[in-house]
Amino acid sequence: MRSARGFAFAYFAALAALITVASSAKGATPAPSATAAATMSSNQDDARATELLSDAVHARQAISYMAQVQAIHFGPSGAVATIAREEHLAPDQTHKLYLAPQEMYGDSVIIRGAETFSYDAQHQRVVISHGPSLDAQAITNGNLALLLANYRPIIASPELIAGRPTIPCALVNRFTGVRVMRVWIDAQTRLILQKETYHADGTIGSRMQFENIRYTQAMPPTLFATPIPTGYHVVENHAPTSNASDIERVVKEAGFTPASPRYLPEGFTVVSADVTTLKGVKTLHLMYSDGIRSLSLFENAANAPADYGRMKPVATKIENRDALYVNDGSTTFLSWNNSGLTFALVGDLDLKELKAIAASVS
Amino acid sequence: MQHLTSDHLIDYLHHELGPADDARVLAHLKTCDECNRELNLEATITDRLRAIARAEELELPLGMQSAIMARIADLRPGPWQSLHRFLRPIVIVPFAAAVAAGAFFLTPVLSPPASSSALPVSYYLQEHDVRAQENPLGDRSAVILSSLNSTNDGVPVIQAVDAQR
Repeated sequence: MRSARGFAFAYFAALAALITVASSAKGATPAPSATAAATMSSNQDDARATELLSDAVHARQAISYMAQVQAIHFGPSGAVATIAREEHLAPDQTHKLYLAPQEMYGDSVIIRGAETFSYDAQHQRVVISHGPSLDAQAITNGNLALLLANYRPIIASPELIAGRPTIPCALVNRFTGVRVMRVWIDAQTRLILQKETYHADGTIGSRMQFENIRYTQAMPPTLFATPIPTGYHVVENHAPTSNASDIERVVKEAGFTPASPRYLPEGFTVVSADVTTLKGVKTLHLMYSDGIRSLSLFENAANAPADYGRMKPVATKIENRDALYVNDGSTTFLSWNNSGLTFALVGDLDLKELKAIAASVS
Repeated sequence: MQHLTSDHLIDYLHHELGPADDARVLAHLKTCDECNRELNLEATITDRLRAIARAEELELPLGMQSAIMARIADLRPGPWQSLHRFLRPIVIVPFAAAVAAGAFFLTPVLSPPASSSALPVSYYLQEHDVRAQENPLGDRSAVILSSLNSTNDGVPVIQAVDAQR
């Protein structure tokens, strides 16, 4: 039996021979051409960027820190900002305390493994979300694979963020050529210290950035304790499912024959599904993603239009059917009824794209 | 292939190129690191210029807004003139017809019948945000609950889970 090393040697020897034969057949010069060198260099850059991104998405499993984090969401009617103090103890414990805006002051989020406890001081409640039961690492790897299939990472020159040297990396959609995101990765720890998202027209959509970061493991365990304060009520959220056979099972749980889109933008695929019950109505939620952008399709058999409350929806048509939509910044919510089912689409795609998807739902 | 000019890159960045040129530039960028670096540099400059412009936006001088509004008020016709103009048959008849038609056709669309089983929009938006935030490199992972989501209409408002998860 041939050993692995022997096989590898034979393989590379054959490959070298093949290259030599090809070179002499073409009568090429012995040195690689400029195009070949450029391609090789480009491939090396791609490999480096891929490795960097992979390190970045796994960094929090190994790196502990205390920092102040600022997030800004740029909308058409202005910008909304939050400032939070964040302590993270690797691999999977996080405490986040909101300092601004005023209406979120004192709210906090504690993550312990797959469970998230969101403390809402204003409404005196704790929302407990149970994360996916599947291996978190497998999900992260799955997201990364999807992202790399649809986006090309491009590394730029180093920059200083929060006083630390970082490697900026842009993510450019392979189908449209549009840059949708940039991340600044700590050159030493590989933690993402800044992230910007962009709309299709190139304008900035959001920015998250770390300030005053300090890498340390010295944190009191009480930071990650999750007591329920007196007078608070608890709201439980369930886990979604994201593996193919489970998605099939969840779809059956919906209790009606669901519809799905025949058209999705390039690169999008279903990544999770779950069924929730509210007001006695079972709603199926299918989540689609291309690795960065996400799109939700909701459907239920309530046969009642979505309740827009105080919002002012705009009437539109999906082919011949009446529909309503509202915009908030880059997010669009579109709802319509068809064949006894109520549908809603939510995503950071433009209305034209959402309507095309909606029209294909059958 | 020859490298792209700054003008081409800027036009590409701002979606000003025609489809053929756009495709040509994209094809070149796929294989040319140097032009990619130039493109990123141009994008950075654009972002910085926008940031500077935002930072340097000037407030209107005190009293200017009220002066403009007062001037507009001066130019407006008086209430009697407006009513007289409005009540002319050539205006009032088509107006009444349009109002009646609008009320007939748009009422079911704009004011959907309230139903006890209708789910609030905030529920859908929160569910979307919470799931989307599970992707560490997703576009929602640094999200702040939007103003739509903060409309609390009886359904528990779920906090933005985490900026980094």
